[in-house]
Amino acid sequence: MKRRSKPARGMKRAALKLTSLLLFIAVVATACGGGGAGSSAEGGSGSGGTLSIAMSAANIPFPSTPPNQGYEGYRFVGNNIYDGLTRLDLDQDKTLPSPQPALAESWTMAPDLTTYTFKLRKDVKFHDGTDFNADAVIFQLDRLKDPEFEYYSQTDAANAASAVRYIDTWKKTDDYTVVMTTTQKYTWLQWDMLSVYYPSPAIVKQYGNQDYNQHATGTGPFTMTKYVDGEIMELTRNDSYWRGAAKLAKIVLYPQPEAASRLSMLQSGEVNWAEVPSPDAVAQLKTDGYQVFLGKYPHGIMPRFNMFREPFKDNLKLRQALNYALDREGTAALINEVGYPAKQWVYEGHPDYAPDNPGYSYDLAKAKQLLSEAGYGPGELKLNFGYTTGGSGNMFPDVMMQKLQADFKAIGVEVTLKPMEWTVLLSIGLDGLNSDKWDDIDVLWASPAAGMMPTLYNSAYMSKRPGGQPNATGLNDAKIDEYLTKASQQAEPADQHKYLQRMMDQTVDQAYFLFWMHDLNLRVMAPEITGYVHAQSWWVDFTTISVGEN
Amino acid sequence: MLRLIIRRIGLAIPTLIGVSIIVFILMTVVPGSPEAGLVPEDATPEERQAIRDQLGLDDPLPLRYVDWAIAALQGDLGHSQQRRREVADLLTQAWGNTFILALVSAAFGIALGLLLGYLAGTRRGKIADRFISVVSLGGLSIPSFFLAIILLGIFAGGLKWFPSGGASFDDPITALRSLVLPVLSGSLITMAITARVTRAGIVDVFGADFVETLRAKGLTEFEVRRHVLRNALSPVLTTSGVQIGALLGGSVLVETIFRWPGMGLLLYNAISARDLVVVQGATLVIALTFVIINLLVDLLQAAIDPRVRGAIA
Amino acid sequence: MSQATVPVLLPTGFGSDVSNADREEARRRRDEWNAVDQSVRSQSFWRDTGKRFLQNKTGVAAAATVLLLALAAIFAPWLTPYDPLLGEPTDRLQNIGSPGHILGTDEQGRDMWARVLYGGRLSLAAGFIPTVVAAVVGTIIGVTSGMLRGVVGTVLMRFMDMLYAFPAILLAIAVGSSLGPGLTNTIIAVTIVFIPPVARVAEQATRRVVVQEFIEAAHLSGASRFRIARSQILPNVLNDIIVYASGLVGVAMIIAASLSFLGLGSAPPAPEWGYMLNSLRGSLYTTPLVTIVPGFFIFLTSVAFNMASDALREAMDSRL
Repeated sequence: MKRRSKPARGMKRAALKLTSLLLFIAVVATACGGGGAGSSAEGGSGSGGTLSIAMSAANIPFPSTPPNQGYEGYRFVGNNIYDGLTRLDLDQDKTLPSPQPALAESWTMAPDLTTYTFKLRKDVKFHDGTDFNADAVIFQLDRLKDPEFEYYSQTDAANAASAVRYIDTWKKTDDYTVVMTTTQKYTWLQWDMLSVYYPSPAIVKQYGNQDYNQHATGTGPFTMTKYVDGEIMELTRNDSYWRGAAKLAKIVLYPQPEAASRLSMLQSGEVNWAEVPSPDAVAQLKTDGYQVFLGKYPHGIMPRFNMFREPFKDNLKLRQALNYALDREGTAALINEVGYPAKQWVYEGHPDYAPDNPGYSYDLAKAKQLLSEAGYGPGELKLNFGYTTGGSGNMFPDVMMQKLQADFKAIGVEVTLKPMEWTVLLSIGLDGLNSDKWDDIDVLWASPAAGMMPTLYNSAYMSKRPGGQPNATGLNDAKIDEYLTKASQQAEPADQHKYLQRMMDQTVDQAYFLFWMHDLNLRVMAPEITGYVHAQSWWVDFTTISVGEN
Repeated sequence: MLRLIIRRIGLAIPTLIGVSIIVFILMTVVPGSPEAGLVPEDATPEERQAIRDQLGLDDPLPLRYVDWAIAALQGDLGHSQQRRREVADLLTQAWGNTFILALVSAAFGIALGLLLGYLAGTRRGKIADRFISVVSLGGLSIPSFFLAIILLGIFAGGLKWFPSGGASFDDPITALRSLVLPVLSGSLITMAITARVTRAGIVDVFGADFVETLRAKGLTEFEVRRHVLRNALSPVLTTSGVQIGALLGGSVLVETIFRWPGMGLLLYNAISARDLVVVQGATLVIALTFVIINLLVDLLQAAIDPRVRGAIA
Repeated sequence: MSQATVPVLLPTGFGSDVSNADREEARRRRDEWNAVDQSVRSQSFWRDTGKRFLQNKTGVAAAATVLLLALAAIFAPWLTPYDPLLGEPTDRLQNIGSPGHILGTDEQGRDMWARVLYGGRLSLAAGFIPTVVAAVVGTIIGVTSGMLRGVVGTVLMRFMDMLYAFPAILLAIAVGSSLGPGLTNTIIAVTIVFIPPVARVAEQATRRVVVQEFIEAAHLSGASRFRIARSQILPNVLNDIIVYASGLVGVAMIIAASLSFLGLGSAPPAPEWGYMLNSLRGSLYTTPLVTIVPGFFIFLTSVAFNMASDALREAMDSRL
C-alpha cells in the first residue's frame, strides 16, 4: 500500500507541472494578445479622475454619427465625442432641458417658418486639429441626405433618418453660416439638430465610412482614445474644448446588459457609476455609502393597444376599463419605487402635461363596470400582450408584466404574456400590428422617451407614419394629428406646448395607451463622484463631473 | 495515417456544409427583422428597403446561401452591418478570447480531473474515492450559471478579490485575476467528467487480465502502473478532446455572466440581433474547431493505442 | 458548462474504451442470455438489474429523492396553501424561515415553497420529456442506420453528425430563438439537441450486436429485418440506451434552465426553476439564501438523477 503513494505523487507533480505550464502559456498569450492602452484605472494627466461606467447597453455604442444603442449611445458616446449645432442644457435639473446654442452660436427662423439660418461658432476645432466650419456641416448633411455624395453613408443615413427628415435643402452662405429650408412649416429643427453630430471631414475622407468608427473624431469634450468593440471604450478629456475643458480626465465605458451584473461591477469597485442596477439593492447600496440618484425624467412604460381591430378598435370603455384596472402603486412597490404611477404619457410638471385631467386611478369597481359596459363579462376577454424581455431603457418588464397580468385577472381579463427579444419588438414597430406576422397581438409594450423632445411624439401618435404607412398600432385620430402638426408649426414654445397639452388631453380621454409607469432614472455612483447633475433627460452633461477629492 | 487524415477531412466537408445550411435555415425562420436595429421606428418603407437591399434580405434563399458560401470559400466571411465590422475580424477577436478561456479552463479542469480520478481509481472504495465521487458528481450536476452567480456574489461583490467580469489583458496579473472566476465556473464540468472517466479507466484496467500477467511477469508496481495509465488514458483523451471542443465553442452562459467577449457571447448576441453573417461565420468556426479537435483526438488515440487504429481507419 | 455534458458521454471513438476483456465478458453474458428463452431472459435480466439496483444504497437514496421531488410536484396543491402565480407585493423578498413562508418570498411577493413545488412540475417535465422522446427517436434512427449501414445509414448518421458538430447549448439557443420562448419550445429544442447523441449510442451498440453470431442465425432462419430489430437487436441495445438516457435527464434540466436564464425558455409567470433563479438575481445581496433556492433544487434534482443513473449503470453492468 505504501508503495502506491510514490507514483501518485509523481502523477500529482506532473499534473501540477502541466497546469503551471499551461497557465504560463495562457498568461503570455493574454499579455501578447490584449494590446491596447495601459491600465484604465489610472487617472491620466491632471486632476478630475476617471469615471468608469457600467452601461446597460449590450455593446459599446458605435462612435459613428449618429451612434447606435438608442439614447444610451447618444448619452455616453455621441455627446462626449461630438457636438450638434444645438445642445440640451443638461447642467440643471429644474426644467426639461431644451435646445441651446452649441456649434451654432445662434439660429434664426424666417417668418414663413420654413427657413433656418444657423450662425456657426468660429473658434471650434476637431480633435484632429482641423477647423469646424460651414463646409463640415454641409459635408455631414450630404453624408446623411445625398445618396450621390461620395461619402454618403447608407447606415448612418438610415439611423439618422428621423433627425433630418424635415430638411429640404441645405447650403452654406459663408464660411460660418448655414441655411436650411424645411419640407413644410416646421419649428422644431433646433430639436432635430441636437442629434446630428459632426465628424471631422478630413478623417472621414482619410478612412472612409467603413473604417471610420475606429478613428472617430469630433469636436466634443472628450476624444476617443481606445475602442474595442464589445468590450471597452475609453474617452480622454479634450483640453481645448470650446466650452472649456471638462473636469474628468477620462471616461471608461463597459457594456453590461444584466442589471445584476452591473451591481456586481459597482460593488467590486470596477466601476464607479452604474446604470439601473437591481432596484432591490438600493437600500444596501445607500448603507454602503453609494450615491443613489432618482428623479423625474421623460421616460415611461406606455403600452399601446392594437387599434386595427377588435376588441380595442372603437371600444373606448374597454380601454378605460383596463386603465382603471392597473394597480400602479403596487407595480411601483414591486420595483422598489424606482418608478411611479403615470397619469398621462408625460409626467406631471412636464410642459406638455395636460392640466385639469386627472387621468385614471386604480379603481376596480369602475374597471369592472366599464368592462361589462364594453360588452365583456368576467372571463370573456383574453388578450395577447407582446413585451420585450431586455433592451436598455425598458425598466423591469418581467416584474411589471406579471403584476399587470394579475391586475387584469382581478377584473376577469386573461392576459397571455408573450415575451420577445428587443429586436422583435423593434421589428413589430416597423411592420405594424396590421402585418400578418403580428396580428395576434392585442397590446404591445412601449417604453417611449415620453416628452424628451417634441419631435418624438410622431411615431406613437400620428395616424400616418412617414412614407404613408399607418400608425404601427393603428391609432388614428384626426384631432391628434391636427394638434401635433399645429404644435410643430408654432414659432413660440408656449404655443407649441399649448397644442401638445391638448393632444395629451385627448389621448388621456380616449385612453389610447395604458398609462402605466414613469421611470425615475435610477443611477448609482460611488461616493467620490461630485458635480453630477441628475437632469430631467436621458442625456447627461459629463463636463461638470469629477472623481476624487474636490 | 495520411490517408486517414484525408479521409476524415473529406468526411468533415459535408458536415460543415450541412451545419451551415441548418443554421442558415434556422436563422431565416427566426421572428424579427435584421434591419430593425438599423433604422429608426419611423423609417419610411423606402429607407427600410434600402437597408434590406444592402443586407440582401430579399434575395431568394438558396441564392443568399450560395452567395455566402462562395464568398466564404474564398475566405470572405462578409461584413456585419449590425457591428460595422468585418466578420473575420469579429471572429478573430472573439475566438482569441475564447481560446484563452478554453485553454486555461481545459488545462485546469483536465489536470485536476486526472489527479482526482487517479486518486479515486487507485483507492477504490476508500474514503478518498467516495469523497471524489461526490465532488465530481456535484460538478457534473451544478449549472454553470448557478455556480457563476454564487462565485460572483462571494468573490467579486462580497470579498472583492476578483473582478466581476471582463477580459482584461493589460498585464499578466490583471489577466489572471479576470480569468479566475470564469475558469472556475466553466471548468468544473470538465474536471468532473475527466475525474469520472479516469477513475473508470483505471478501475477497468486494474481489473483486466493483463495486469495480472504483467505482475506475474515480475514487473515492478511502478511499471505496472505505467502500463495501466497508458491503457486507461485512451478514454480520457477522447473525453478531453470533446471537452476542449465544447469549451472552444464558447460557453454562452459563463461568457454572458462574466462579460467575456468570446465566441459564445458573440454568437448569442448575433442571434439576438439577427446578424446572419456573424451567426453563419461563428457557427462555421465553431463546427470547424470541433471537427479538427475530434480528428486530432482520433489521431492521438491511434498513436497511443494500437487497437484503435484498426477501428477508425 | 452544461453543453459539454452531452458530447462527453459520447466520444467519437465510442466503444474504444472497452477493453477486449470486457468484450469477451459481454459476449459471454449475451450468449448466456441467448441460451435461455427470450421472454424468460429479459424478465430475469430486469429482475436481476432491479435486485442489484436495490442493493446499491446511494442509488436507492437517489431514486427516492427523484420520486419524492416528483410526488411533491404532483401533490403541490396539498403541500402549500399558496398560489404560485399570485404574490402579495407587501410581502416581497421575505427571507428564508420568515413566518408563513419557510423558503421566503420572491420579488413579486410569491411564496417560494409554493413556486418550487409547482415549478417542479415544469422543470421535471423539461428534464424528462426531451430525454424520453429523444431516446425513442434516437434509438429508432440509430438502430435503423446501424442495421442498414448502406446509403440510408450513412446519410442518417451524417445528418446526426451535423447537429452534433456544435455545442448543445448553442444549438438549443438557435432552435429556441427560432421557435420563440415557452416551455413547449424549450422541450422541443432540448429534444432536438439530444437526438443525435442518442442515435450515435444506438448505432454503435447496434453495430456491435449485428456482428454477433446469433443475428446471423436469425437471418439464416429467415426472420425479417424488422423482426430481427425488434426481437434481437432492440433488447440488446436497450440497456445501453437506458443507461445513457438516464444520465441525460439532469443535463436536459440544466439546458432548459439555461435557456430560461437567457430569456429564451419558460415565459413568466411560470415558476420554472431556471427562470426563477434569473429573476431573483437582483436580490442576491438582499436575500441571498432565497436567490439560491431555485438553483439548489436544479442542483439537487440533477445530482439525484446522475446518482440514480450511475447506480443503474452498475446494476445493468453496462460498460457505457
